[in-house]
Amino acid sequence: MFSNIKKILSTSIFLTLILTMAACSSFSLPSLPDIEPWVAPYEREYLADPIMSFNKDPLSNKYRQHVFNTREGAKGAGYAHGGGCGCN
Amino acid sequence: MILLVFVHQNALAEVLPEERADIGYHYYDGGGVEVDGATMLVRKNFSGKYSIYGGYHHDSISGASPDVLAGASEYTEERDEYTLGGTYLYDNTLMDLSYTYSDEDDYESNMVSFDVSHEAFGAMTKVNIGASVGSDDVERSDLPSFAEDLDRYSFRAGISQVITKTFVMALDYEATVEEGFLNNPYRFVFVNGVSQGSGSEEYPDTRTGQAYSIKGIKYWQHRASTSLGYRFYRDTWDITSSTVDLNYSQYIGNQWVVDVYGRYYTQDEADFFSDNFSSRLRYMARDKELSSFDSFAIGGRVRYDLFKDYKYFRTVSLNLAVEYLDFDYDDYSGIESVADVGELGSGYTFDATTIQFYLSAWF
Repeated sequence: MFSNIKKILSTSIFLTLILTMAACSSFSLPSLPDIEPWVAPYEREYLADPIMSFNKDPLSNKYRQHVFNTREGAKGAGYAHGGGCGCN
Repeated sequence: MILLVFVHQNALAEVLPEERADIGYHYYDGGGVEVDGATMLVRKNFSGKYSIYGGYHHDSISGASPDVLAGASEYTEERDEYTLGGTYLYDNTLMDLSYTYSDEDDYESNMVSFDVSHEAFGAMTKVNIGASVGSDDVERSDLPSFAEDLDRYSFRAGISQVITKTFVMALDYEATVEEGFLNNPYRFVFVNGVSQGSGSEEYPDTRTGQAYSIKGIKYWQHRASTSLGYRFYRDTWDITSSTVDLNYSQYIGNQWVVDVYGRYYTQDEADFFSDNFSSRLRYMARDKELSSFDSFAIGGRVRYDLFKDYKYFRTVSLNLAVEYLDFDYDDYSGIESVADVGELGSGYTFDATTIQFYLSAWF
C-alpha cells in the first residue's frame, strides 16, 4: 500500500509541476497547429451566463457535498473535497 | 506531452474567479442528529492577477446516530472549519493554493491543496490538475489517552470542453489514498447478537479509492439551464457506488433565480461489513456508511436579488435552499441495544431535511 501512496503522490506532484512549469515558461514547445474555436467569442453569451456554471453557489454546494460525504462511502471526482469529520 | 500541447495552444484570456461574499446559516435534522451553525465564504481579487479567499464553517452537533448510541451517550459537539487560500493568474493559467483546518473535541484535520487549471483552444477547453495532502488526529472524548493518526492524499485531473454555444461537458478523475486510523473510535459490532462494546470495529489501515465523473450543462432559450452528472466510484474495500445528479435553474423576471435539484446514490457494502458477525474476524465493520444502501435527495433553492449596482456592490441577494434526503439500508438494522437483537439484519431507513439561508454579495 505504501507503493500506492508513493505512486499517486509522485505522479500528482510530477504532473502538477509539469503543468505549472509549462504554463509559466517563456520558451516555445512543439505544438499542434492551432485549432479554430468552433464557438466564437461573440457566440458565448449563453455560456457566460452564471446559471451555466457547475458551481454557481460555492458556499451552498460545499455544504451540500459535506452532508453527503459524511454519510456515504464514495468521494472525489469533481465533487467537493475538504477536511474535517463531523461525521457522526 | 499531451498536457504540454494543451498548454501552448493559443487561448483567450483566463480570468480570476468572481469577487463575492456569502454569509449564512445551515441546519440539518435527520437520523437522530441535529447540526446547525454559521457559514461564510469571501473572495477578493487584486490587480487582476491575485485573489485571496477565506471561509469559516461552524457545526453545532447534538444527538447521535444509531450506530453510536449504544457505544457512547448522547452528546453535543462543536466543530469549526477554517479555509484560507490564494489564486494566481498567469496568462491563461490559474494556480490555487489553499489550507483547511477543522477542529472538534475529538477530531482535528489539516489539509493543503494545490490546483492548476489552464484554458486552451480559444478558451474552448479547460484542463485542471491538482493534489491534496491531509493529516488528521483522531481522539475519543471519553478516553483521553486515545490518540491515532490518519493521513490523506488525493490527486485529481479533469477537462471541461465547450461543445456548442449552449452546451458544456466535463470529465473528472480523482484518486484518494487514506492511511492510518480509519474507523470511528466509538462504533461497535455485534458477534452472534452480542455487542462487542464501543470501539470494537477493526478496519484495514489503508484505503485507496478512484472516482470518475462525467457531467454536462445545457442552456435553454427561456433563460434556464439543466445539468446532469454521473459519478462512478470504487475502492480497495470493495465498495462500488454510482451517483446521479440533476439540476434545473430558471430565471424568473429580473430578480429571481430558482433551482430544483435531485440526486440518486447507490453503493455496495465493504467486504468486511456485517450487521451481525457469526465469529470474530480480522476486520469487522458495522458502520452504516460502509453498508449497502440507496439514497435519494430532492431540493430547491430560491435566490432573490435585493439590489444591483449600489455603492461597492454589483448585486446583493438573499438565498434559501431546502433539501429532503432519504436513506434506505439493505442489511444494516440500526438497532441500538441488545434488547432489539431480533431485528439484526433488517433494513434501517431514515430521512433528513437540510435548510440553508444565506446572503450573497458580488462586488
